[in-house]
Amino acid sequence: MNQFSSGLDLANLVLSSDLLHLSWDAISNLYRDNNPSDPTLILRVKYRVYSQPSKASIVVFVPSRICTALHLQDEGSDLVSSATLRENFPLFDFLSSKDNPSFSIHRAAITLFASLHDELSPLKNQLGNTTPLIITGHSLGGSVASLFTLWLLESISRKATKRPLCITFGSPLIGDEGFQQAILNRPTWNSCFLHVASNQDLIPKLFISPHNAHAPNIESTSQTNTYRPFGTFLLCSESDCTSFEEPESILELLVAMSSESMGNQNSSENLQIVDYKGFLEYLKCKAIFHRGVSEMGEWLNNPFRAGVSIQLESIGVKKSQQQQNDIIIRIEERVEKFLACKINVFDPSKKLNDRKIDMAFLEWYKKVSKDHGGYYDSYKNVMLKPRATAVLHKRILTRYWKEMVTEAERMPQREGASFRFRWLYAGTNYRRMVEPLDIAEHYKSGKKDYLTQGRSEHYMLLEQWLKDAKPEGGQNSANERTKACSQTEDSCFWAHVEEAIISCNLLNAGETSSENREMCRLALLTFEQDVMDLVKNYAASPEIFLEQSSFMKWWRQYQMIVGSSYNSSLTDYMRNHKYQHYK
Amino acid sequence: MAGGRLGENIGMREELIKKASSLAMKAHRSPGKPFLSEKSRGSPEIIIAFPGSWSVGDWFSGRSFGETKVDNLFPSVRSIGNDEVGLANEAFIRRFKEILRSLENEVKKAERRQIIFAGHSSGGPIAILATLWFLEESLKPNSSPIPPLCVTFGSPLTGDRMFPHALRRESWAHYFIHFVMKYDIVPRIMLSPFSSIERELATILSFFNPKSANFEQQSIGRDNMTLNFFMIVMRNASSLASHAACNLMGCTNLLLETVTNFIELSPYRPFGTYIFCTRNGELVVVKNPDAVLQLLFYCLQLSSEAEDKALVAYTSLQEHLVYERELQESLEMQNVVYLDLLEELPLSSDVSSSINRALNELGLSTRARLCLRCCWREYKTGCEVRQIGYYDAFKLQKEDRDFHANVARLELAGMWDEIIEMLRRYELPDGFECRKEWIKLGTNYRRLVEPLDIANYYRHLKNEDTGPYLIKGRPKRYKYTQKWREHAERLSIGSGSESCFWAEVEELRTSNNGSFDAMEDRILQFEQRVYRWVSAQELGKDVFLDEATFMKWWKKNLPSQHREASCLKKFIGG
Repeated sequence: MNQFSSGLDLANLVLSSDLLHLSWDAISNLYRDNNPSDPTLILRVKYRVYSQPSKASIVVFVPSRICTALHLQDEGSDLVSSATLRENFPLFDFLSSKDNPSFSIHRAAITLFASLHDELSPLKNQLGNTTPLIITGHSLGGSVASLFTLWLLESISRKATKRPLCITFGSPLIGDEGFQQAILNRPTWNSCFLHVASNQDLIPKLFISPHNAHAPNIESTSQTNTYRPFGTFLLCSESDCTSFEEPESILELLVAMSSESMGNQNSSENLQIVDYKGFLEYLKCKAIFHRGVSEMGEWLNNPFRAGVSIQLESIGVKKSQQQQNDIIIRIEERVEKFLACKINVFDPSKKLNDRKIDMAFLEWYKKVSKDHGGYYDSYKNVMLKPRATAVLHKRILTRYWKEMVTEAERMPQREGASFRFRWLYAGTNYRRMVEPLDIAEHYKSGKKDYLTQGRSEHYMLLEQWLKDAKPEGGQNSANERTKACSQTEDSCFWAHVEEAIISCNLLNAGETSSENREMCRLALLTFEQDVMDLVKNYAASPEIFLEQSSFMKWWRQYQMIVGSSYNSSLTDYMRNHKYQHYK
Repeated sequence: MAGGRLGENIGMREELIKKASSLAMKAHRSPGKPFLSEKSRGSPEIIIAFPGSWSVGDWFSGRSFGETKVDNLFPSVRSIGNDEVGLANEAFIRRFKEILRSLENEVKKAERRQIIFAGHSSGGPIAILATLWFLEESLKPNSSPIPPLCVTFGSPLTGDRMFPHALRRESWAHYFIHFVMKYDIVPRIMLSPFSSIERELATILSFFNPKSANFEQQSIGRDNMTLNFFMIVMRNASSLASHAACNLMGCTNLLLETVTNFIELSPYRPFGTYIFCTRNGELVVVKNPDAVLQLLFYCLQLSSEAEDKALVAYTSLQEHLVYERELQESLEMQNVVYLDLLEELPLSSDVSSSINRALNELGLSTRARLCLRCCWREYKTGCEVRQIGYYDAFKLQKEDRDFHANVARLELAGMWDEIIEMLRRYELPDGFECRKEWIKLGTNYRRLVEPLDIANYYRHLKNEDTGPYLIKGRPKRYKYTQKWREHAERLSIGSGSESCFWAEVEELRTSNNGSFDAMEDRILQFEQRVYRWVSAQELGKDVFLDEATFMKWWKKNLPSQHREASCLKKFIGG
């Protein structure tokens, strides 16, 4: 468990860098040029690009007229679901994935974004791989900035190592739990968002419904149609600022800190725009030059709690000691849980080593099975003693790889791609080693059509990734094999053999229609060709030519069917026993 | 907390420190001399003090932070396994090289005396580099000099994080002693990119220059420009300290990484023993380099908003020039506190203890104290690392069955890979790669197991898929352990690759269709290496058994003429 809470230091790093100032300056420039105080204007979003040589380029979004909490309430807080969006604005469909299929976005935000879409398209292409790039916005402009950043992240080159940074000031929450989950599932995307929220600003907490915020934890997560935060929040008060990433704590603190500061204020202040510039200037000075107070209760001698306690103090959450301690404990629990999930996602490599040991067991099984018809057929037919061990290790391996593949699928493209690349070799070995055993089980139980009916999806994906990773234009001649490989390259080879045997049986039985017979013949011809291709490239294991193997069984059957007058490269190869020299 | 007088704790007598500080100040006033040296009659030490320079070009070269690779001048300043080379300030290195020749002569004259290298301000980096050079020289065969000492006063930072890493690994860190006044701005200057302070730096430096009209002028100290300079340096120090603290605290928020791409952070890091001095005579001794970095920032923070920033900015210049006088007093008073048990640092200022008095004196808030606490690292020499020590690699040999040996091999590989991964992230103690028991363990492991890995590699024909073992297939666990041994025994890089013997044989066997003419040079070199390895008993003579792959190839593919003349002839016999 992380012993420290680094929220203050991260906030301090952001504050002492110039990033926030640059962003806010750009925002105020754009406001100034647009005379936002004219209330008759229709609410739209303006944007502008500032590019300076050797400095970060900045894209700014601001509402076309002053947009206070009251205005925002008039705009409404309803959500549009991904199902509805799919019909008229499917741009963000990439956010849905298999285990997180639907999400909803703040109607006003997505509408404003959609109205700019035609202009933003060329801008997105033009920005392309511009780095460093800051995307920023205030209020509803911040919502649009977030959406634009997501759109950009989705299309960003896989090779780009530097990601854009999206900084919003006083923006409302923009999506529900599905939306939040879509971003949290992609840790690097989540790392691109920094939301600055002042305790005097009503807007960031505007869409937090009361039952959502005050309930300390889990019950509320089952609620749908409520807004949820994502990214990192920089919470600031008159005295200091700090950062939080854990979403439940963000919800709780957004409400807690603003209720502290709003307590004795006139509601007419809701009409004001919070001046983030003054805030930032003051906080920056303060964070750098002035040390804070140093009195700590004794139970806070735990560094994590002490850290959180200073964080609460820094955003002006001053409750009774007991209440404060309760908050700290809640945050501690949530952060612990949050980190546990994160670490899970990030450290799969440790187990990969253990899986190599499972593979060694299977390799050993492969070796002993050689005298019993080979790896495939002995697993299918012979009850060798070590078979039980093989079954066990196969099960462990399958569970591991299914999990890995799901994990990789959940990740965003670029991150997923590098992940896949690292695991590709191990995954390919696994597929070639274990899939034949799955095929054996499938056909042993009397089933057919493994490829369409029985093949697990994770095998298909692993195979697909291997294809994606290979450079285009086929195999490099330098890499051509000169010796037969130990595992057949096509992990579905045995399924093809089984299908070929079934075809032969059909032809022998002689009962089916001529149409069916023709199809069987065609299938067998294709199979013949495939086998010869494998053999020519040394891509098949010599095991397939063992006397008791299913392949040889097929050949004997096939030989009878085609008769001795039939000639092909395969029949030539087999009849003349050339296969005996295949090594 | 450890106690005792300062001199005993840091290994340098107080009287010597005072002498060094006086000589360091005197060096500034001696124009044209590369350094001053002082040996009192009968004294077992000689002090060599280097003057500073006040021209901007002698502080920063080029843009950014003016850093450059140290390369061959200081071969120890790198990491062994990862093989990263350290960075140091280019201007300082250049100035050091300019005086190196005359320094060599002076050092020869020292004979059997301990040399104290000293420097104030930008003389400090020269003293540091000189000490390092001296230590590198002492590694050469036939030299057994008395270890030197380096003492600096208000020295700017000189090298990157590879310095603390390598110096602690070589057990050299305690030879370096740095005095820093609480408010002195100079030790913090290198934390700012040159471009941000370019405008002010020349004027600021002239304030320190005894020959300048601006020397100690209040008009400079009180100028707005000084305040501005102070603010910029503070802001950059703050960024770096926060960034370092985030990492030390194990920050898992990836925003940290994203933001880091947008800001310039100084590569420079402190190393050695730091002694922070307050005007009240308090001396705070810190040896943990991470903690020193935090203190460099947090000590400068003001106590309240009411405090006059401009005054503090002025003070930050003045304190750069008070070392000689302040140390005379402080060393008499001996109010010394050692910050070594960082994990037990009190977080509240209200606990009464000598340590708390010192922390309050330095002006450390709870935030600052938390940042210091996280500098204490409990190294994860977790169960994997310990386990491997117990794991008998030789078990592999006793296993009669191939298969179990194979499983044991994989288990062992997993443990080693975890250690290497920790090294890559610099999560093991700095001296780890120098520990004798680990070098021995790693060498044994490598000699025993790597041949099996090579056999496996070629058995599965991975060379056809991936490429030759030595280029494409060799795991890091063997590369690292080989480098450890090469470093410890001062072997030339790459010469300790005896465990790759079989991979070379396999490659020779398969390349160029095994034709001799095309590879004669390669074969001759290889045979010489084999000769050396077998003579030193690093490689067993079993490789010459008739049925071994090597002999089969040797006898079958090489012309008899070559075999007769080969250096391996005497091992093979018959």
